[in-house]
Amino acid sequence: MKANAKMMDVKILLVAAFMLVVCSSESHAQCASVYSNSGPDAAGNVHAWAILTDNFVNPTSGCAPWTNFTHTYSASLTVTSPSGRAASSNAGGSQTGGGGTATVRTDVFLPILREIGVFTLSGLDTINCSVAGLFYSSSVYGSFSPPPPVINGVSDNSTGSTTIYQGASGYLAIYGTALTAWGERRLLRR
Amino acid sequence: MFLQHRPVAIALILAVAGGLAASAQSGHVHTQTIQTTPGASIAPSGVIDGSVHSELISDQEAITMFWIAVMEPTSAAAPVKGRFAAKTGGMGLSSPDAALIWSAAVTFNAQFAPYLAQAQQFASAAGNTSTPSSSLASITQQRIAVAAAIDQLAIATHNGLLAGLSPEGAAALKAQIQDVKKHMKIVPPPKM
Repeated sequence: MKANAKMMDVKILLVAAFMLVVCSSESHAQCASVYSNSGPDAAGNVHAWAILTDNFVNPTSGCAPWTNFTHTYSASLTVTSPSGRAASSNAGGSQTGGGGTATVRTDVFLPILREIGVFTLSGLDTINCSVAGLFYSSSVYGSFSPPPPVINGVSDNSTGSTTIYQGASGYLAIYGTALTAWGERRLLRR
Repeated sequence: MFLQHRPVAIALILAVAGGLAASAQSGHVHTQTIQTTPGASIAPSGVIDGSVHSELISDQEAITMFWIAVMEPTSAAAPVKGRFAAKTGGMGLSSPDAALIWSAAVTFNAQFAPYLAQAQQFASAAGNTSTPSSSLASITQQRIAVAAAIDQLAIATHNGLLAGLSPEGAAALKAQIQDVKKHMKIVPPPKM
């Protein structure tokens, strides 16, 4: 009797553990993913981007059995400079049915124009389901401060020498930090 | 008496524990409130926030996202190339490595577009009320296949590129994928 009870305990434990694993792995299933970030280019602009992938590929996700739902999704972004200049972009889309994939990407850029201070990034990513309602809504936010350029020196552009001879002709190079990385072009002067 | 009910008690405890675990990990987001206050995080519970738990985001997910982020058309003009530079600028790439990644991004874009078109086509068919219900299962399978093909394309692009990059470039690309995770969020299925 005791042996039978122990066997039953073991079986129940195994079944329960299996169910626990199934439930846990299913709850990690991916329905959608978002990615947003920002950064400068080498030409004096700051860029921001947002991607929203609606990816109902998992038949056990709870979405696949619903073949008549519609997902509407949108991604929006605004970059604002310290002086209040702003650039915005948005992208959106929709898909119907279960087990599909769709992607929207939006990009925006704003010239730095030598402004110093905090540039802010704001936006909103949303996914709305005709069955489940609004199931994802997340603000996008961030800020960054372009460092001011620092000139460390001047040299002969061809030789790199910091000795400039009187009467010589050619180009001088100004070097330092943040001269190109944040949009201040390298200057060449006669 | 206890022996007779012990299996039931164990099952009950584990079921409750399982339910709690699943509940803690999955999203219950049916909120109808949208807060738009800048700086206010309204990411619902159950969402994996890469800035907090990047280890819960797979390389596959980040790799696919990276290539979708950097893909560009062949005829890219200055602003487009600028955004590519912004997306890869932190990698500290040498010019040859940057050129290889650009080339791969253009190729990926060309190969990705038909898959997206197919996905949209299948979505339209699935949503069309005149589509016979007997076809829906087949359409769903095709849509799953398209999604898998996109992932495979991203991985193939990534692995092919790693082989061609310099060791420093390959290391930078791998590091970039880990960085992408920190700016990602994974949204779980809504409860139906």
